[in-house]
Amino acid sequence: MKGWKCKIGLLVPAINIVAEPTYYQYAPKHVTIHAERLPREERNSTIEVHMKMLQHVVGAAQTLAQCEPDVLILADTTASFLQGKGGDLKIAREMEESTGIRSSTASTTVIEALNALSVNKVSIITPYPSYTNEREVVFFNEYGFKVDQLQSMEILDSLNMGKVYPDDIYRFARDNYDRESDAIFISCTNFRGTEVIKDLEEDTGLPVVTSNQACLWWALRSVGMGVDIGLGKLFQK
Amino acid sequence: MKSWRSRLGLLVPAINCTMEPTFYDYLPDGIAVHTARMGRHTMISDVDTNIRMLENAVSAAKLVAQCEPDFILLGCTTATFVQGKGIDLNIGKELEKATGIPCSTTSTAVCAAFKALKVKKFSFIAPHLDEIVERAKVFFGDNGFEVIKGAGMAISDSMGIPAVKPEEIYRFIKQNYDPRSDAIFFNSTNSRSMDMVQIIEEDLGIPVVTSNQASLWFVLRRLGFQVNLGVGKLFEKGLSD
Repeated sequence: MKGWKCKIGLLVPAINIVAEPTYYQYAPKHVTIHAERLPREERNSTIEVHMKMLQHVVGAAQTLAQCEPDVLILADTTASFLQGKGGDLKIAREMEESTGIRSSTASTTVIEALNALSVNKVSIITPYPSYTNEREVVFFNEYGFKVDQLQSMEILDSLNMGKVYPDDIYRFARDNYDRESDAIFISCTNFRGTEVIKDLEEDTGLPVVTSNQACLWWALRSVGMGVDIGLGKLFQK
Repeated sequence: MKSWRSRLGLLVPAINCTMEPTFYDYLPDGIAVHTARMGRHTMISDVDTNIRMLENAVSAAKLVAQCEPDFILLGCTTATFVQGKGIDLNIGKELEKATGIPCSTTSTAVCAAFKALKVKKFSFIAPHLDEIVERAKVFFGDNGFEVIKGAGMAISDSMGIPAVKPEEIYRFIKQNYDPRSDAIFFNSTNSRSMDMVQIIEEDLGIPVVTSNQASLWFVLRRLGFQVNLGVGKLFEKGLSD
């Protein structure tokens, strides 16, 4: 098996153009990533589109389970925080019950990452439209985090979120985080924040968490791999 | 964009654990692969399961089309050759019609690889059951490439194929190829054979083609990339027509 250390099963929105190459860029050797896609009614990132996409999660998880991954992740932050605290866990439970494979969601792994870093107050950077940002603040508040600041690039088209370059995300994050925060969280698996984690950590002094980084960290820790891949302070945990 | 040079859509059998990581091992920077899966109705790698999987090809192609790839490849050799000559091309056309994106299949890619290497007769070596080896003889024979030696490891469990180690593939090929062959082909996008191409070519002096190597070569050439990835004589070649 090429992935003899770990096979990660990823459910990604069909329009996602960042997650798969990002995991392959950072995953340790002998860890493989296998993807299945969730259909989108349209490219625009609306609440309704995400809710409809969730109806396909169990079917897609069952298809993906055929390659016998060690863990399954719903690699979509918005779809997993939309329904508030516990909504994420319910999706993960459905994935587990339908496949028998340990499962999580992007939003769940971000919560676990922030907890591992002992974060109470967070600055959030997103590409999302405003109604999505509002839901995200509610989700983090319900999990006990104070959101000092949330700044968004307000991109409506989900595919276009994946086209923003990492250097632009760096500038946007550095210009918009709150210095009082314990960490910066860059949200969205179709957003290239992961590539500037180290630059932002060095330059701001704060831990930086991204959706894809948190998913990869959770997957490796779940199978018992304590490896530090050098992708931010999170991987020291 | 991560895929600033090109974005590739891949359809793999749901059970496949090898093709995605193999592509990412060898792909040049700036080319990304995005995958959708075709569900299988059994975990047995036989003729029937491969044919029935194709019922899920169009819907998987439509899914991966949503990320707007430049090219879509159905990454399975067996499913695209077991029904005989021309079926691979028809599948490609059907996927193109459904997505509006250029599409092809691994069996088409393997034929193009043989053409580029001027292969007339070859050894067909596979992890599979004999029934699949027999179908391969017909498909490739009808396409003008004679199978002068066919050998299969007789693995029927879908998860058994990616579990075969590259070293075991090397030894099986060495024990089973016919030295009169113009090329040795090892079947299955779910087998770890691509890592052995260079070593087998050096040891046996015969060009080696594998499903993933031919797929990657074909897709890159169709997209206009002339890069030589150094994985066998095939990568010294362009598409021959």
